Amino acid sequence: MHEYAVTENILKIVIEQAAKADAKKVLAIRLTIGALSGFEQDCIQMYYEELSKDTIAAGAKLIVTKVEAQLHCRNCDTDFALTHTDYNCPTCGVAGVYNDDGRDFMIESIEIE
Amino acid sequence: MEIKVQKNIMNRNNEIAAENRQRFIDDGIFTVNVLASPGAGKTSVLLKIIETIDGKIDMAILEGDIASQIDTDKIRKRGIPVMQINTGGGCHLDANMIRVSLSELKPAKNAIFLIENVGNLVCPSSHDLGENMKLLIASVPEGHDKPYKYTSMFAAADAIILNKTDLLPYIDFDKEVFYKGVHALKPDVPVFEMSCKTGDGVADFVNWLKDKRKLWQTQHTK
Ligand SMILES: Nc1nc2c(ncn2[C@@H]2O[C@H](COP(=O)(O)OP(=O)(O)O)[C@@H](O)[C@H]2O)c(=O)[nH]1
Ligand SMILES: [Mg+2]
Ligand SMILES: [Zn+2]
Repeated sequence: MHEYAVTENILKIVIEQAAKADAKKVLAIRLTIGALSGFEQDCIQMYYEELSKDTIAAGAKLIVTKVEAQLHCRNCDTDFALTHTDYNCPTCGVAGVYNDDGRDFMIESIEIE
Repeated sequence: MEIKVQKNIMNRNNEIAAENRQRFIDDGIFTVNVLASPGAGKTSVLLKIIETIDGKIDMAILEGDIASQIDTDKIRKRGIPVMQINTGGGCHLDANMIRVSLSELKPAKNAIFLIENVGNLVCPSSHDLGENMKLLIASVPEGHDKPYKYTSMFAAADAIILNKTDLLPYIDFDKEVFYKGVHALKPDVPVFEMSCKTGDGVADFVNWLKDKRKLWQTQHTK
């Protein structure tokens, strides 16, 4: 699973940043995961617990903000959530167009002590 | 205490992808990342491109399929530099795998470099390889609902082949539903209907690919 490599990457960045700040412990990690980034939160959580053992980031809480993907209706100018059943506008029924959000996967900040 | 980090997690991959992209520009190599589910016809399409394209254009092929050597053997028989990459059971290729294989494969200057990614409609879409375009192959037997299920892949595609059109009479494939989903995610994406079995649509696609390459070369190379 590719979440493994990505989790290693998260951990590497977090430990680097924590070391720079002379942290004793990392308490929490704030992530933003786009709905279309292709990464599963649960999967990252699982690998994180495993990979972070015996590091200063062990046991840190992963606080995830999900960014939903949206479609835009050019007919009535509404934005609506991209669901996997149908791409039609809930207001007027016309097919929406994807507005390119929800692909990012970021580490926003870490909480240290 | 809270520390701001604000780093994209794909940064490392994206940095290497950018290096690959620069190298492709330097050598005039037009690179296509070929994406599809297992069995949609990636290898079949590559073989059709090789068969149909102008013999004066050099080609190079990188095979990312997990299991066998079968695909590479088929292509090597045609005298084109080809290399199989071992993803160790991984679900996608990443930019570093491409960088490493480039030194062994050594595509010729101004070649078309085709990369058959691992058969998977999820993970490869989030890994930039430094390619110049993503070619997604969907096939009729997979059904018309794939643009609604594999959103990120369809949203990332620069061109789509709808393969196995010879099977349309036998399968309940609603083209209208398929196209609606495709165009919601990417209004202007070109879609090529093709059958690798009958050869229908192959020439149209190959001509488009050649034009696309020419345009890219005039924009990016000296
Ligand atoms: N009927 C039909 N079969 C096809 C077509 N293209 C590929 N196939 C068959 O589909 C199977 C998988 O093709 P392959 O190119 O190996 O798919 P890959 O796994 O995506 O590389 C093979 O048995 C091909 O002969 C097509 O256009 N029509
Ligand atoms: Mg194949
Ligand atoms: Zn509307």
